[in-house]
Formats: sequence, structure tokens, C-alpha cells
Amino acid sequence: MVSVMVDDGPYIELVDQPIQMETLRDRIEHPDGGAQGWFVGVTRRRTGDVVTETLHYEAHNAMAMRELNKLAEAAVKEFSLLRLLIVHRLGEVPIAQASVVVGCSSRHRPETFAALEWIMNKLKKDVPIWKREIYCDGREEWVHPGLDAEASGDSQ
Amino acid sequence: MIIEVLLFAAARELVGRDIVKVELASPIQHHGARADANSIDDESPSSVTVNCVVQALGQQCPELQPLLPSCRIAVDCEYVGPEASVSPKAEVALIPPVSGG
Repeated sequence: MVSVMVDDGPYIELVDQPIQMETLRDRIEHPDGGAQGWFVGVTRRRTGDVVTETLHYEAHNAMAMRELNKLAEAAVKEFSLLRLLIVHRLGEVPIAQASVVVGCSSRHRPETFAALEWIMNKLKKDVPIWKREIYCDGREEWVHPGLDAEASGDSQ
Repeated sequence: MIIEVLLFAAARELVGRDIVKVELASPIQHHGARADANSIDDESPSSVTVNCVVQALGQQCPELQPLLPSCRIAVDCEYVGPEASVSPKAEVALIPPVSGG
């Protein structure tokens, strides 16, 4: 859908199709890298007693790209990353498929381990992307952390 | 003055539209009503504060009231605080708590 690649800067993409991991591998290779790490966020079927049938994601696309670029650039600086990519999928993401993939490389492993967690925490706090859960019992709801279902217009 | 506000996720669904045209009274009256030190740099008649836009949005779309206290506002794709100024040409977005990942 939307992608930005500036020289060897972070690679950021919003896609509306399944994320193809194998096409992304080259993007985090670097001759000085002693560590490569991946985080793959996958749509989960069961949360407590609730069973999800499928999920939909929507974004404020332009702003999501901007926020992702900002946090990627901050992560590269903070963790001295050699390469970084973040790909988020939008639209329907069926159960057990990747909704987000973060890949990075660094000279040594501590930076890669730390960066993946830091990036995901920031992404979940600031990037304007939302998911809608469609449950097996027919209910549907937008996930707005910190908000009860009534306020977010939970539908039966 | 009319400010267009983009809606997403539950906000969009509650209102049934993805853009709301928010009508604001003359900005001068607004600033007169809440004359505090923070509004000094928003005196230009061609802008209002984010706070004013959110209040007017809540009045125009009361169904958003339960959601508004948890939402952030972005102007031209940047999060801004309640005292930031908004011009009619700016792209204003209501950002409910996000759930990407």
C-alpha cells in the first residue's frame, strides 16, 4: 500500500495483503551485523474465554506512516541498529496470520533484543492503527485499550 | 468557522461518518469566554484551540461523549495538546486509544 525506503534508513510499510517474510529477509542484512532479530505479531484466536473468529485493522494511513518512521528513526539511534524494518498489515487479518513484523540487525545481540520490545511498546501506544475483533458468538468490537466496551459502541 | 475532523474506529462507527464538519462560534468569543494565559498565542481570528474543537465536536455529536476523554487529537498528522491552535485548513483527526500490533 504505502512504503518508504530512503537509502539504508528504516523500511516502513503498510500492506493490505499477507506479509511475505521471505521477501523481507534481505532488508535487514548488514556485513557488520552480528545479530538479526524478528518480532512477528500474530492474530490470536483465544483471549481468556473469548474466541475470536477474525480481525480487521484500520489506520490513519498518512499519520501511521509518519509515526512509524519517527519511532523507527528513534529506535535506530537509541539502539545503534544497522537495519530496521516495520511492516503492518491492514484490513482483514485471519487468525494465526501476521499483523505486524519488525526486523532489525545490530552489531551485538543485546541491542536487537531490546529494540524489538521497545519498538512494539511504542507502536502499541502511539501509532494510529486500530483492530476490530469479530467474535465467534457474533459480537464485534473495536479494541480501545483503557476504554470499556459501552463507550466504544460494542455491538451485539 | 468550520473545522473538519476525521474519525476512526469506534468514533467513526458511533457517528456513522468518517468526517464531521464541526461548527465553531467566532473564535474571539471563544477566547473571551475562557481568557487564560495559555490562549494568548491563539488570538489570531483565523484559528481556534484544540480544546474548543473537541468541546464543539462533543456537543454536535453527543454519542462521542463517552469516548472523548480517552482520545487524542492530531493536527496535520502530529499529536497536539489541548491548547494548540487549529486553522480551518488543518487536517484534524480524533485518535481513540490505539490497538495496532
